[in-house]
Amino acid sequence: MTPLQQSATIALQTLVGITGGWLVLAWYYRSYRIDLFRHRVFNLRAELFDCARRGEIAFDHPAYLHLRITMNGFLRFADRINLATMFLCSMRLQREQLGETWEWVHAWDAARSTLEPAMREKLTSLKSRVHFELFKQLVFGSPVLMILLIPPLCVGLLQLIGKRVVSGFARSLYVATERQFERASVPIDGLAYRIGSLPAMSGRGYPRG
Amino acid sequence: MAQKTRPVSDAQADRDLRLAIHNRTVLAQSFSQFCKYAFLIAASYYGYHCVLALAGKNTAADIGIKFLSDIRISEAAAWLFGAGGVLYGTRERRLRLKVNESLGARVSELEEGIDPARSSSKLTPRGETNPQDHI
Repeated sequence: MTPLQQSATIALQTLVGITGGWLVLAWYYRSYRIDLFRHRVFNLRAELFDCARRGEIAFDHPAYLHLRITMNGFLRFADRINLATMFLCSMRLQREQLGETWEWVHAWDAARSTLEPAMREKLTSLKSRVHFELFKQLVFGSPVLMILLIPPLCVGLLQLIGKRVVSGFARSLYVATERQFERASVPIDGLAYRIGSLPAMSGRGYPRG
Repeated sequence: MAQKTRPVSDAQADRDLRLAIHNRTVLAQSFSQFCKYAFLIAASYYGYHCVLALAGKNTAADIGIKFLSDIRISEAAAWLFGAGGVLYGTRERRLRLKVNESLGARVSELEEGIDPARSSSKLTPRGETNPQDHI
């Protein structure tokens, strides 16, 4: 086998490996992330249902219905959630007066204001947790984003940790050295003081004037 | 000069917005699919050139033998391990979907007993995207 053929064989093997990795990442992993997101939102929806089952909120309360329907929407279209969709849709929505068009925000606020503070807090927390899951889905659900984002983030994190460790080490070294030098410099300070207090010297080493 | 504006009903504005959102979703999904398949196309292109370099005057069977004969035992074991992992993951997923189907129906039934007006996520009984919702 010629060196060119050997290189080509290695390149082909590497290519097959990378393609296999890509297939796993782009299909299997993505599908897994969608299922994971759905599973977690299902759990949050079950938590909301349990609140109503215990009688803490009515099943027909507007806030309950709002949150449940929103969660259903996330569950239903979880496969469409990615950074590109989010970016393009939010660009379009920014041009709209969202409150007037869909009235979601006003209706949610109005429904929430009729609840008792503890329940209001609970529903707000559930909504925040849904948003947190959404955020995780956006970041970890996209293989491209992961490839683009995770390595620089890791490098940045390592740099930050490295900087802290290095600067901490340098600071402690400086403090220790300064303490030691403080002790060592006392005689030198004394000598400097004595020299400083001497009268002015002439060019030949004799006191001037 | 005063600018003439056409009065747009709320329903019309809502329809327009929904259409715009749908179009953007389709665009984003297309971009996502493009990224997926572009990688495979690029890999095929480079793979083709590797095969060309290997080919010379040999037949496809020779290339296959060369390719396989160059794989070491340790590499083969790693490949087997990776492929086994993927196979295991696939079977586990299938099992989980079956469990979803059997337990999910029961949970829905029990919840509907408590709240007859219970709203649904419109997913399939296995917990997958409804075929009608696919773009």
